[in-house]
Amino acid sequence: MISKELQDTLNLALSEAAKRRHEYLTLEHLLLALLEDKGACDIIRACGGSVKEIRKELEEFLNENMEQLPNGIDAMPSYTAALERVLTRAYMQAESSAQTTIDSGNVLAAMFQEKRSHAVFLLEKEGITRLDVLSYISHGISKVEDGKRIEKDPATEGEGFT
Amino acid sequence: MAKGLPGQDLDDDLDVQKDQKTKPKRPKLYKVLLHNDDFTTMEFVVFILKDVFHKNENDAVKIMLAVHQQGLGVAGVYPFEIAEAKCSKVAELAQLNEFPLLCTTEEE
Repeated sequence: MISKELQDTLNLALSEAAKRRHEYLTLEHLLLALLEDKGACDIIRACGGSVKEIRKELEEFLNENMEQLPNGIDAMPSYTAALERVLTRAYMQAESSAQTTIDSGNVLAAMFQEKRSHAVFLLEKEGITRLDVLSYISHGISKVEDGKRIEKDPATEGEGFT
Repeated sequence: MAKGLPGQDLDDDLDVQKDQKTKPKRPKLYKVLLHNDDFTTMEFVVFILKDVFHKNENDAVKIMLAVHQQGLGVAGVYPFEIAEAKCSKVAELAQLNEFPLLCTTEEE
């Protein structure tokens, strides 16, 4: 099952893509929507990334590289195969670790296999690796050592990983 | 620990990284190529170029002629994810209409 927050994120990504008249719902739209999700932002910050910087670069990419539907054609954006793969991976990973819901953390971690995606490039450019994300969502281990390390509640997070 | 997926051989995962990671590179754009064959009609190629790649009539005919005469035509240049999506859309429409039209992607 998809967590309520993740469902909201997917809906937001879809409406963002539709608003921009984009033909496809891509990982870049998904990442942009994830930046509005508190859980995902916590992960990105804990892994040393800047939410603001990623948002700025994503906006630039979407404006410059995403084709808009020509006038007169209206269609809901369709999921790309890459996005489907990410959701499937997140789902399978959650299932194999007996998690009942998939959330933004599972999805963020599952994105990294899409090596040719600009969204993943932007995360990596911010110094975020898949392992950083996994360490944080599993154990609450943050990469930034600035004294305000965010600890996750061990009772609700990371269950079933070990 | 997280269990392996059903049917997955765990040995397949023995991909140990020993080198330092390199700086992330900006992903390249990808060309979507249409390949010539003796069965797909010119009309269908023009339809594909207009429907999937949103070309106007003029450009569609130009690209179609490139496919026909040079064996290969560039239908568009996109980020990988979009190129992949358009490519499978072409394959789907070609199959539906029973044409062997081949569409591939290639790094710019």
